[in-house]
Amino acid sequence: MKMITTGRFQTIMVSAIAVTVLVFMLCLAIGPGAPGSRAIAIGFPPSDILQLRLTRVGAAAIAGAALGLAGVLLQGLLRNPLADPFVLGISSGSTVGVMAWIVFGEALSESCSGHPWLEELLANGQAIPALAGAGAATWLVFLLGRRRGGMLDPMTLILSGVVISTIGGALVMLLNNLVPYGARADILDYMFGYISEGTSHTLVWLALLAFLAAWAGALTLGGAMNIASLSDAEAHSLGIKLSSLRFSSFALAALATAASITVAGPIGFVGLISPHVCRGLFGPDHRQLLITSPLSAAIFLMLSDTFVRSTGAWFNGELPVGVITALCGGPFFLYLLTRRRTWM
Amino acid sequence: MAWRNMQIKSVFWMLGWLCGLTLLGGCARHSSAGHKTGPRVVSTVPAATQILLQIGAAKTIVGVSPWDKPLLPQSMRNLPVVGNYLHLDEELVLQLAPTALLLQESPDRIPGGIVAMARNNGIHIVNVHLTTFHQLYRTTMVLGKISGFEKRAGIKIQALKAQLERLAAGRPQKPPRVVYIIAVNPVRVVGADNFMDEEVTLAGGVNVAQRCGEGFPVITRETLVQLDPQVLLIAAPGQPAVTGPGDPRVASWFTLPIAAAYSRHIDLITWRRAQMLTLQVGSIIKRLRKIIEYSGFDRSVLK
Repeated sequence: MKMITTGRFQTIMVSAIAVTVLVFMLCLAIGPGAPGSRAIAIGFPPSDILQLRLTRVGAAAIAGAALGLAGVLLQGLLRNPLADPFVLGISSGSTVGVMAWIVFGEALSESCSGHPWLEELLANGQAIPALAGAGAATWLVFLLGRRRGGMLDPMTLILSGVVISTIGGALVMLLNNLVPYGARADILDYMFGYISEGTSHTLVWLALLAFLAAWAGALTLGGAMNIASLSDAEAHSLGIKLSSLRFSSFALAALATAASITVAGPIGFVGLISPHVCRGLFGPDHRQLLITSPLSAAIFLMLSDTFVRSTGAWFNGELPVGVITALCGGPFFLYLLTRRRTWM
Repeated sequence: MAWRNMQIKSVFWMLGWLCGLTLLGGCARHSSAGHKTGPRVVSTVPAATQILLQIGAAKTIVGVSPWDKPLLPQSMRNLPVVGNYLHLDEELVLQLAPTALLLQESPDRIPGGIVAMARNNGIHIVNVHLTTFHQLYRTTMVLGKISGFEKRAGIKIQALKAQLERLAAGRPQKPPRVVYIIAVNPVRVVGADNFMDEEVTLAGGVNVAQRCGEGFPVITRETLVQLDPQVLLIAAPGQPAVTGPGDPRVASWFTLPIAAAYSRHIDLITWRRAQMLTLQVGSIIKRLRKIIEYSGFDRSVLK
């Protein structure tokens, strides 16, 4: 593996952060034109609208970065180039949580009346149930993915994730039949991911803290992940404790995914492609990937969300952001695949 | 060995139970299907079921969808549930021997199996479309015809048309700007060319979200700020009424820089049938008018 120099590492890191900040500012300056017009307005809006955009672009940046981070961690942990935060059934778990909320939420809200903090949490709608569902799915996959001795087994983890996903899909269909008349549109929109300006600031800050904690933890694992990408025997002989590394990767990926789901729901493709794109551009060193992948994913999601936010008039209403990430990310990923190099 | 025998026994017990339950279910199903003469309607469209009830054709309904159940009168809640537009229990439909089957689907998307079943068993498929008032009149006449209540349907339509004309005549000179949100995450609003748009207009408002697209487009809160509604209505079918600006269900909307927030004119529409186009649309418009004309939290006007 070609190792990077400190100078190059610093250049890449500073450039990536600078580009991310620039894109953030650009996204703040782009928005829909007057209602009914198909034009896109460019320029900083009045402060009240800027406040709304700030919440949304910020949420997109956090969600994207968290997905990019989780993607690198899981692809390293599972040694599988197709791994992303949702291959472990986390997306399916969050959808089950939201469906359960739509079906049973009213009764739950009534039973929580008199507890102001609980009422406020539940008033944030789908975020908390989504998080609970994702957390439950992650915990199940974790329990199932452990071998005797407590070590996580990549193959068992993937298979458990697939099974949990399938069971989650069945539960979604079951709950779908119990959804009250008229609530169906909500779940369809949710399943494609959606970033809202209405997201509570408390949730955005919580997501940011969760992401930063996961990122800080992950940055300490870069060197060990490089060695762990060799065979188990080689990694052991070089002094890497695979069991603790895998547990840490899994826990940090779950935390990052939770941060993303809290503010954006299940958005596909971002966590899958950003590590690959960064590997193609900057090489396979995990110490770099753990910085560049979150930032590139943040850029990608901010731009995708700005596109859907600004082009509602083109499509008879705003598109779910997951549609754009899949439509742009998919072909780009295929293009990279055809130019496949050693980074795959 | 004893453990193994126990396992085998328990498997046989379970199989026995399953067979018994299946037989019981089958008997229950069979007994629900009496073969009567006269019109027999299976409805998978809650709005159409309500229209049948409103024209007095309740006795012709022999099967419904799961979404109909909470909207039916207590005496009809034991009607067989035949499934919904996605998954229709064809076997149960056949047992109910309907003369008409009500669906809500674009014509090219009705499954071929259902079309063939209907053709072979003399069932008339009625594909209901209820997105405008004009379609309501047409559908009501069709439902009247298939249920044998054609004359009653005609009378009801005339009465509704007269009521709507009176409501239109009473529109204010300067109607307020209204946005009607039907789902909050994402923000989906009542756009142009649908019955809820017509309802807002007749209730004395101007649906400013018409400009955002047809049907029920998704908009951003930024667009909502640009629309600057004077009245903001939020659908919350079946939920308790709003308690005030601090109610967590509306609190975040009061933080937006819009006229409706400044004048405290944000309200939840909690009636279950508010998003359904039936012959009761006149009374829904009257209730909407009261909310649009008065302050959102002055609940006394609704009594």
